Amino acid sequence: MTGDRAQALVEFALVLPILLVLALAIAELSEVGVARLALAHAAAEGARTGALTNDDREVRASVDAAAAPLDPKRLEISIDPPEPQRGSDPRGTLLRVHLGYAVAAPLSFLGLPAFVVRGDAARLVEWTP
Amino acid sequence: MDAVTGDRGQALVLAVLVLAVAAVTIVGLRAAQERILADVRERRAGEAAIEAAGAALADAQLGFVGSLRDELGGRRTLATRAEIETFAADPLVAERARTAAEALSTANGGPAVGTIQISLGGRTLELAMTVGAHQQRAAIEAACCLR
Repeated sequence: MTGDRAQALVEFALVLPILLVLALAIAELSEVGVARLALAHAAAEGARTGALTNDDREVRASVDAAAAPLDPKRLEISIDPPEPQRGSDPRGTLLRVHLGYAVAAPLSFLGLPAFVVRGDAARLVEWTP
Repeated sequence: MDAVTGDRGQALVLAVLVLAVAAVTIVGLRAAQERILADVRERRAGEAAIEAAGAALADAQLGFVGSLRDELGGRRTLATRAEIETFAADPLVAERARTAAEALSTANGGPAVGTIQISLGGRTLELAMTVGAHQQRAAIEAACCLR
């Protein structure tokens, strides 16, 4: 372990962590990108369903189906205003669907926090009793 | 320069190259993501906007037809083609549709609404608007022209 071989080993040891971090960053960025696209799509589908049905259960089912590549257990769905607050004739009410999804950070076992990706969409309720 | 001559330093040169490629990849991925997401957001905002504008147009048409009276003073359920054409050309109607569209586009993080056109087709009121780079269209049944 002397001379040129040792120098190459030291250089490699110095650079390896940086390369690993970059590789993980690329993987993480890709996962976050997929999540952002899926959430944008799912939020829009959920809001559209809410506008047509005025039914929060239908909205949640629609979001779960549209966010298919994502793990539904990590998906947070918030509907604003919730169904009971929309009244008996909600036509014209602005319905917002907010989604959150925790993308696990690489090396999360070290205690690194997850990235929370968000998606939102709004539609006017068209449903009439 | 001893570190980059001969066998020594080859790992360093390679590492610098790989780092550069990785950095470019990350920046490129991020830029591509932002572009795609901006386009998706604009498209979705446009869809929401055209739906809201269509609903506003339908409500306006309902109000317009409800205000029409026959010779005996009774309410009419249908307008004539000429009346609906006048209605479609009313700038206040277009403004009402625009206001609704703008509100929904903004609520969805989209851009301002561009041109709005309302016209009477065969038996439908046709609404066309641009939201960002996207053209959006909707058609609602005209309260006239029925056989």
